[in-house]
Amino acid sequence: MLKYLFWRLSGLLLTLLGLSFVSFCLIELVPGDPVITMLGEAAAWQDIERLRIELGLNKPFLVRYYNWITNAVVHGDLGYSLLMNQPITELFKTRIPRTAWLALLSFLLTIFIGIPSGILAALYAGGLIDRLVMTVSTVFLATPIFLVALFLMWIFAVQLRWFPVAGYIAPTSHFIEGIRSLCLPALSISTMYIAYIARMTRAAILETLTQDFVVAAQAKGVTRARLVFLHIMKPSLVPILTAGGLVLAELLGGTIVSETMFVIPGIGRLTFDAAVKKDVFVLQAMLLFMGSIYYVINVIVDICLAVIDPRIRII
Amino acid sequence: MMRRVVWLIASLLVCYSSFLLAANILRVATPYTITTLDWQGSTDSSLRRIGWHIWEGLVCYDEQFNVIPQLAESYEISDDGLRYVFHLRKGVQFHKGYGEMTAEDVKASLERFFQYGARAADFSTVSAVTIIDSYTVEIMLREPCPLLGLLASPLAFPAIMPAELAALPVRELGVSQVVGTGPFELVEYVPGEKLILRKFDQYSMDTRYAGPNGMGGKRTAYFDEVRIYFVLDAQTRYAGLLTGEYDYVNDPPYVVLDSIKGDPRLSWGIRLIQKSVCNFNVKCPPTDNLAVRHAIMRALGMDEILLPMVQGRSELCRADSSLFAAEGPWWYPAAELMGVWGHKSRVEEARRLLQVAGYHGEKVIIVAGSEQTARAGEVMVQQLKQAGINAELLVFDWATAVNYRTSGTQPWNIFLGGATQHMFDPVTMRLFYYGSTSERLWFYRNPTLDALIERADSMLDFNARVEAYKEIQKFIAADLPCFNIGDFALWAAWDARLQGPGLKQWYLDRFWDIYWGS
Repeated sequence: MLKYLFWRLSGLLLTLLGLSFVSFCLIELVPGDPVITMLGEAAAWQDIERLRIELGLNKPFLVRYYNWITNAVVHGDLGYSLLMNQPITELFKTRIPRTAWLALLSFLLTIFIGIPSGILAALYAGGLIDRLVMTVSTVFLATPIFLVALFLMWIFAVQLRWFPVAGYIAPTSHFIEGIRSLCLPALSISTMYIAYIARMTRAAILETLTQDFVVAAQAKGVTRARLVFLHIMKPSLVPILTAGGLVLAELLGGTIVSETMFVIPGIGRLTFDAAVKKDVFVLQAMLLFMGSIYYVINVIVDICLAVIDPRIRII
Repeated sequence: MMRRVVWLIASLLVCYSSFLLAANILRVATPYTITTLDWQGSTDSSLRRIGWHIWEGLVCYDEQFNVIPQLAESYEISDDGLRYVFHLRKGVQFHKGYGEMTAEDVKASLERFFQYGARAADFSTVSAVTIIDSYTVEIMLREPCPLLGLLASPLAFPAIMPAELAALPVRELGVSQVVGTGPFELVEYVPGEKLILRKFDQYSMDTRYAGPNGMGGKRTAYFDEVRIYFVLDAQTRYAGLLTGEYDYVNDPPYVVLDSIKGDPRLSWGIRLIQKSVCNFNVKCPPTDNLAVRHAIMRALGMDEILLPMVQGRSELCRADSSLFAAEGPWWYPAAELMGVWGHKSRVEEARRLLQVAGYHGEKVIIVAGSEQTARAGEVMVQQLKQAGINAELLVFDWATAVNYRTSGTQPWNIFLGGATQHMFDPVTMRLFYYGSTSERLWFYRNPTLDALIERADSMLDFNARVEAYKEIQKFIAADLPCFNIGDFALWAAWDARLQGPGLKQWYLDRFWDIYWGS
């Protein structure tokens, strides 16, 4: 296991190096001039050129990449946000926890609604519950997040006044108010993932139900609850865990639409602002961050899978 | 248990709302995020909305867009227009304990702006800023120029700050270094989230005026705090206004205007009338041909183009050919008077001109940099096609559109832009048609037009200058480097209990002289 971890973490460094170069190239290709965004179009060209030189944006591509990667690796310095006028690491420090809270709440909703729904749909396959779960999940998958967000905002915030329209309160300072401020954004994001996990769970369990050992267990008179939780769930967890890992990675990468609509100042909102205003250093750092998240979560999922299913060997 | 939790939450909310009312806080939701706190360092229109609450200048614009003294008690201009002497008001206090404003602070602030500000190039004719005494500053010019109009313009404003802070590089002011003399001081800024202004208790009210007047006058901060939240989504802003989470919101969705009009709890008003100035690319065929440019103008019916920009809300737009604001002294609809610009499309006239021009179906590429101008562009394409012009629309986000336009390698013929500086002295509109800036941005430069503008801007007599600018607008209408589709409004909605002259339509948002009515 340790040897596995060592090799996977080594792989992380190589992956990040490659990702950093690719992201730097991609950002280079993005049209738009951050200096004009900063100064405004009416600024004189001398001022624009002067700022471009000050920020080092006039240097050759490889020189800029080298400076950036050495600062990031040696000093942990991801650069400076051109538009927020702050070190990017400071921006990440304040914003990642907010996205993390939103991601956690969304993930819990996804797991605690999605998995039981999928189990029920599988156990009562073809029946009313199954049809209901499948129909609702289809609707959730087909409805864009912004539409769900608008609907939730209108009904639960504007009409019923149960939740605030927008804004973020840190649960660490005011737990109830903080969770309340995250409810609608978390719900809006998780509808799609609930549908996805429910379907994955249903499919996994339906496949497990056809296995011989399940038939044997039923023949032995095992109770339904014991059958589901002791015999069926564990082998079905492999695809569910894999899907759950992807969901968590996506959530931690920031959910732009929900964060923008509900004014949650997290990573997703930062990415949106950076993309619109061409804050290239933030975009580069974001790509690195999201790549790391996906990689780390994949490693954790692989380890969990090996623990759950001994047939899976980790090399 | 659940009931107790709900009761507790409700009580907390009531207490919080009461606190807000008791603390007299105005909560504003705006989509206009800022990229720097330094008003000297950027021409971004978002910054103006905030900057003039914090800072003041020697002069500023009044309601009629005339220049009036603000921090200057008075000023004198020499007969040759090369020497300006400003006598400062005494006893004006800076925020955050920086003491009284003196000539030293003014000199340092102006020199910083003239050398490093975002509009530094406009002040290249300034040769020296000199302190005469503690409350008198002299500005010497190499050549006459409309200095007062340039100093008063809120595009990258020559904000007066303490001399020790003026030593800091431009665009690097932190919250604690944003210090002005305005009715509000900056207490908190979280990029992309919020900005909080607090009433400045030692504000030196300008008692020369009876009340607020444009950017200046006698300004009174009634609110203890103004909290500005950066909320990008229009529906969210509107929803927050309905629930009372926000008291004032910029740019609600156009579709809710009727709902707001019918809701006695809400009021609305126009905040800014923008010009939709479009530029021709005079280097790229076929618009390198003046006759083709004139044909295009005949093919365009501006009334029909303008309405989609405001989603059909006619009360938020007006077709106007002048490049300058109808509310100001520079307005003159030259293009309409000369028959170049029309409310309706004139297809036959366009076709005739196309024939004269020898047009053979070359593509006319229209570039739009926003959703709003894209809607206008779609109508323009249809109108041009009706006249037999092969038109195509390219839509980008703003930064990409600007990059595309200035690349020099990408073909484009009409760029759909806008202008928010048309209310002020004409020098602030020059980037569309004058000098090296226009050449860099639009590949247009006409020495005859440059000479006309330089002559007009050297005039010391205001009325003579107004007349000179009528001739300039006629020249522009004939040579067509640019044209204006019309004016469209940015608007705001607010809690109907808010009252005060600060809510009056003028230019952008003003949070002074606003208060809760009875």
